[in-house]
This record gives sequence, structure tokens and C-alpha cells, in this order.
Amino acid sequence: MDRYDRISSLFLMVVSLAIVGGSLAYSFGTWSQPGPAFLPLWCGVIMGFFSVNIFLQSLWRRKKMEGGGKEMEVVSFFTDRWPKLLATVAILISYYFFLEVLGYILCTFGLMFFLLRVVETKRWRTVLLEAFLATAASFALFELWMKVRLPKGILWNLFR
Amino acid sequence: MDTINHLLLGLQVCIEPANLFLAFLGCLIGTLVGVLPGLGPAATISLLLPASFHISPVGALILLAGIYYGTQYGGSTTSILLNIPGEASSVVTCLDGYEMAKKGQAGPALGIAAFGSFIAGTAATLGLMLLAPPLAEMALKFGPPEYTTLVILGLTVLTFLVKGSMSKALAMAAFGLFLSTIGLDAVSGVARFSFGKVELMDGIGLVPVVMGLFGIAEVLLNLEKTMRREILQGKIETYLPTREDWRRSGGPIFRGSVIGFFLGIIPGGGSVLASFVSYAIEKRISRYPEKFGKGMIEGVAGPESANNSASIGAFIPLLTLGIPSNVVVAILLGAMMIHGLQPGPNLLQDHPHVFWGVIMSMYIGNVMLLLLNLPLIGLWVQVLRVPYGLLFPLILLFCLIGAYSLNFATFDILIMIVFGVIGYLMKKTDYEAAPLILAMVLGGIFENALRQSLILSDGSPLIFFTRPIAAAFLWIAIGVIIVPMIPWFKKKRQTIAVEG
Repeated sequence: MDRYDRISSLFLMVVSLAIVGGSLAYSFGTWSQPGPAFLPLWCGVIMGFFSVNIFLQSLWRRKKMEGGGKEMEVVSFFTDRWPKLLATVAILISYYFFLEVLGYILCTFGLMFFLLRVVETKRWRTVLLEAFLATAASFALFELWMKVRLPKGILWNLFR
Repeated sequence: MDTINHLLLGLQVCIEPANLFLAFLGCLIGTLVGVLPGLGPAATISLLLPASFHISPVGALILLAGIYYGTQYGGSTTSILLNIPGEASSVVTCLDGYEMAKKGQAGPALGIAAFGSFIAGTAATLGLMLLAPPLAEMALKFGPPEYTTLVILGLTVLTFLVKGSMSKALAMAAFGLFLSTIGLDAVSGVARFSFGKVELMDGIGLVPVVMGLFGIAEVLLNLEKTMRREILQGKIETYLPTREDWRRSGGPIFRGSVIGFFLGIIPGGGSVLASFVSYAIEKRISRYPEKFGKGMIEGVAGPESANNSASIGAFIPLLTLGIPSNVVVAILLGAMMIHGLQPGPNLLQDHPHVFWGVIMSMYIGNVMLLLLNLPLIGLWVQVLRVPYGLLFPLILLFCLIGAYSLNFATFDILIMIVFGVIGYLMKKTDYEAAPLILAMVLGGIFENALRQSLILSDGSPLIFFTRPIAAAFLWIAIGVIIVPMIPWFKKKRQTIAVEG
């Protein structure tokens, strides 16, 4: 975990530097008339301070362990199911890109199909049935009952 | 006499058929969400927020509040029967509840959890009813310096109470405050960190962030493991605790109710903390502490009472000060503002029917939850048999629709996915999301109050030390940051975290 603390704290330091740098584009104002950069700048500074603290604490713990003759435990960050995770994130991003183009029904069917077949590895027939039912039920619940205006996409435009 | 009139007004509001139905629906959905691991009250309330736009403000608040305290009831079912907490606030119930179930005492465990929750919830509602009006009156005296330091106090208390590194929690709080500044600055009209994107002019929405951090991230984490659930077989003969069970549980229920109520009020407290503290206290004062973790009914009664009491106590700062004390209530704050209700000391004066209607609905909601939980345990057990492989695609789908339906914009879906990945990485590296969310919600109030305070004092930060209430809040916050650095307290905090 110490290794991940060092990596995460370095990442936070970069983010805090970006926040501070970005804040300089706006007016800091004065102490009696704080400007738009006042709070973001201080947030960046505080975040940077604590990320340095996290980094130093992890270094200190490491030195303490090595000084005591103990070895750092190597813990794998991802499990062996990481391809499923990646696939899930990828399909969610695809859903974002295609939702308004292809419409709710096509995208949702595709999403459910992918998640049930690729991530969960169910059989084709089961997947098709469950994907169809989930799409139909959710469409009925949100579009028809709750009146949420879901994107229609090209399917709707074709049949209009 | 005034109180009776107010109660009658509240009763009149909440027994309207529509509001009664919404209270029931909220309790039902809340219990269901509490039973199902993976979807918490924060994500559920966020998902249903867009749907609540179609109903009246008081109805929406009754529905969403019902979901919140309903989840506290439902979470105990999976803790006891499956050893998997349905909610974070039911984690400690697993320790003794599941052990009781293994010994064939699932019925009394479930029963005392339900009855304890009912008693605590009812008592907390009474406390809310008595404390809220005088607190609202006191809050009218709060000015910008008091609000500034109250927010600082809330954030520092929360960072003290989270498990793990305070530095990580404070870094997340600072990041959350930064996120709240994205968009148009209310004072100068400058678009901060919007990178020319129209969607960012209004800032980053709270709901997609919460759904990402709590909904998507939780699903991604669960996908890493094979979710196998073994529901304890065997018929449950009775849910009624015996006289001996009541004798042993009376003290824990009382203590849990009080602890939970006051911890719920403190910004940064909440149901999770309340349940842990209650368990730690019961174990500490018990004559048989070594038996905790092996099926002690006190280990179920205390925490379950505390978490329910805290969920209701959390409404006090929301309704009277307009300050949310935890993440879920922060989302409720957002909901109220969307519905045109300004939470705070003026709510009681301007919308008494909302204030008292919500309070009365809590009494009725607690009765409904008691009636729902025990007789329907068979149904909840069947729900638990739904494989996670079918559940998680539905959770993801609801999150996607929920995010889209806020503004009918796919940009909110992108925000949710991005924060879902960030939330997943945060959980893997032990960074808590709660400080980030609370800071993000309070950021707007904080910045306005801070700027007004500095204008009032002509730039002198001493204003926060010269006004008594503001100074008290600030000194407590400073104490909260410094005290953990003292080695003895550091060890105590770690011990409490380990025991919890």
C-alpha cells in the first residue's frame, strides 16, 4: 500500500500544481475583496501540502520497515478480473458516445448484451432474453411511466 | 400548545393520500436498497431525484427521506442472514448478527434489529421535533463568519472520523472544495475552469459525481470479486425477542439512540460512525467483552438503534441551519434547492407545512418500516437470491438513465463515468469519498460566507476569532486537527478504528 500511497500522492501533487497554475489565470483580488481565484488557489495549496505529507509519511513507513529488517509486502493493485473491469468501463464510455446517435433502445440493448455476455459470460439465449427484457422494462418504466425523455436516435427517425 | 398545533399541521400534510403513498414508497424502496448490497442510499436518492421533479416539494422530500432511513432498516437483513452488509452502517451488525443466525437465532436478531430501529427512530423524531425549532431560532443569529467556521468544523470533524489517514481525507476535502468552484463565479461572473465548455458553466453536478463515486465505483469494485452469497438455510420460527433478549437489549437500544442522535447532528457524523461508536461502547461496558463477535444480541441492538437514530438526527442541521451533516443529507439539500425550498432557519417560518410534514412522516415511516421489515423478510431473502451477475448491469443502467435524466445531457453521463473510475481508484488506495462530497456540497455556502466575512472585516481573518460562536467552532476544528497528532490520541483513534 505504501507504494500506491507514493504514486497517488505524486498524482495529487501534479493535480494541485495544475489547480494552482490554473487559478493564476483569474484575479486573486485582495484580502478585503477576494477575487475568483481566492478559494481555488488556497484549495490547490492545501491539497498540495497534504499530498506532500502523504508522500513523506509513506517514505517514513518504508524506512521504518526496512530498518526493522522487514520486507515490504507486494500487493497487486488489480485482480485477475481486470479485463472485465476494463471492458465494463469501455462499454460505458461507448454508451456515452452513441446514446444520442443510436437512441436509448439500441444502446441499452447493446449495453445489457455486452455486460451479460462478455463480462458475465452467460449463454447466448439467456443473454438475448435478459437484454431484451431489461431494455423493454426500463423503457416502459422511464419513458412511458416516469415520462423521462429518453433519446430516440436513428431508429426513431427511420420509422417516423 | 404551539407544538401540538405544529404537529397537527404536519399530520394534516402527511396523511394526504399522495404523501402517505410516497412515505410508503420511500420506505419500501429504501428497505429494498438497504437489502441489496452494491446500491446505497446516496446513489438511490440521486437516481430518483429526477423522478421527484414530477411531484410536490413536500412529497419529494417525504419520498427521499423515507428512502434514507429505510435503508438503515434493510441493511441489517443481509448483515444477519448473509454476513454481507447491505449498507456501510450495517457493517458492525455482521459481527454478532450473523453469528446469532448461525446459532439458529436469526429470528430474534432480525426482530431486535427491527424493534431497536423503530424505538430509536421514534425517539430521534421526538428529539428532532423538540430541538429543531429552538435551534432554528438560534441559527437566525448566525452570520457569514459563523457559517464559514461551521463548515470548517464539519469538514475537519468528518476527516477526523473517517478510517485511515487524515491527510488523505483533508486532501480530498480540499479537492471537493475546488470542484465546487468550477463554473460561473456568482460574485464576479468569471467562468472558472470551464475550458470554454458551456456544460461546465453551471459547474459539475453533484448527482453525477455521487452516482459515479458511490454507484459505478462500487460496481467496479464488486466486479473484481466473485460474489458468492450463502443465505443461511433453515426456517425462522419467530421474530419476537424473548424477555431475556429485551432485558439485555434495553440498555444498548437506549444508549444507541442517544449516541446516534447526537452523532447524526454533528457535521461529519452519521449512521456509519454512530453504529461503530455504539458497538465499541457496548463492548467496552459489557461484562463479557470477549463474547462480542460470537453472537451477542447487544452487538446488534446497539448499532442498529444508533444508525437509525443518526439518520434522523442528521435532519436537524439540514432543516435548521441548511448545513448537511453527511453525504446523503447533502444530496437531500440539493433536492430541496431544486424544488425551490431553501433549507435553513427560515424554512420553519416560510414553509412550516414542509418542515412539520416531513417530521410527522418520519413517525409514520418508522411504523411502516416495522410492519414492512419483519413480515416481508421472506420476500427480501428471495430478492437476495437474484444473482449479482444480473443485478450489476441493472444498477449500471439505472445510474446511466439517472445521470442523463437530470439535464437530458450526455455530458452528465461522462462526468459520472469519470468519477466512477476515480472513485474506484480512490477505494483501492484508501481515499475516502465522503470528505470530497461534503466539501463539494458545502463549497458554495463556504465561499460566499468566507468572502462576505472578509469584506465585513476589511480583510482581517481575526473576525473568525472575535465573534464568540465563530471562534468556538474554529477552536474546536483546530483541536480536531491537532489532537490526533498527540501520540496517545493517535493510538486511541487507531484502536477505535480497529475495534470498529
